[in-house]
Amino acid sequence: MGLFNDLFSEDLIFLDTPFRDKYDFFDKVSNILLEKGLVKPSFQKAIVEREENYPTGLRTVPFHVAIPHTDPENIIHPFIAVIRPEETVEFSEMGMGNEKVEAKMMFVLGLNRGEGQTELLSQLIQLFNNSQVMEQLILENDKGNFIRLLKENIE
Amino acid sequence: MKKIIVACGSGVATSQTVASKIDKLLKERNIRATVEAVDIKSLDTHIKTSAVYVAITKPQKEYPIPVVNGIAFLTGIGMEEELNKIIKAVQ
Repeated sequence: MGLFNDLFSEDLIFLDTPFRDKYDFFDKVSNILLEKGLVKPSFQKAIVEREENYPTGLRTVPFHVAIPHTDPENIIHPFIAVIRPEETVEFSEMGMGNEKVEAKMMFVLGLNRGEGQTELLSQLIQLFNNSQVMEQLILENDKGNFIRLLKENIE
Repeated sequence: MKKIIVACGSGVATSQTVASKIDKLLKERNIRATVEAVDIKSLDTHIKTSAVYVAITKPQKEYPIPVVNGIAFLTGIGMEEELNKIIKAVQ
């Protein structure tokens, strides 16, 4: 599907990157996205602020994830970046309480309400509950294979 | 036909995804209802004409209609229970 290839790419997959905490994570990832011309300079502040107000940690099984995102006006070109940190990164849990999750994988959603994005996002979220594939993604060290695994299970 | 509203923080991703999921689940069970993803800023207006509110962010106050946990439709955990609450509210 064209949309998958438009949004995901090997150079937006980061495996085993160390982060001190979620602020360090947002800082490092925002800089990369800015350098690649995918986001505006306003992106970093916007995504950190949004995360504070509307956290995106999800208490999924087999492991927690986070899906940080912000308003489309900060996006130049839509993307989905996937980051598997060296150590889990703490995020606040989406919605109801003041709980925290330990995210083993973060998906930065650079979406702008474009066509087909909701459907693809649904597929991605469905994938979080697929223990078998998620366990494979945790272990896969080759970016090409990693992205292939995602593609097979999202399209 | 009764209306179900879903609202989240920025309306770019999560509310649409949850709305789409609920829509699919209801169709599978042959239950008729409108599912709409709305901006959290216009929530109060929509509440007046809706049967149930699916929340993805913490509700800021009490509402006159049932409030259901929308996160369950993202994580799959507790989803059946929340779906049943929705079904009860629209029948």
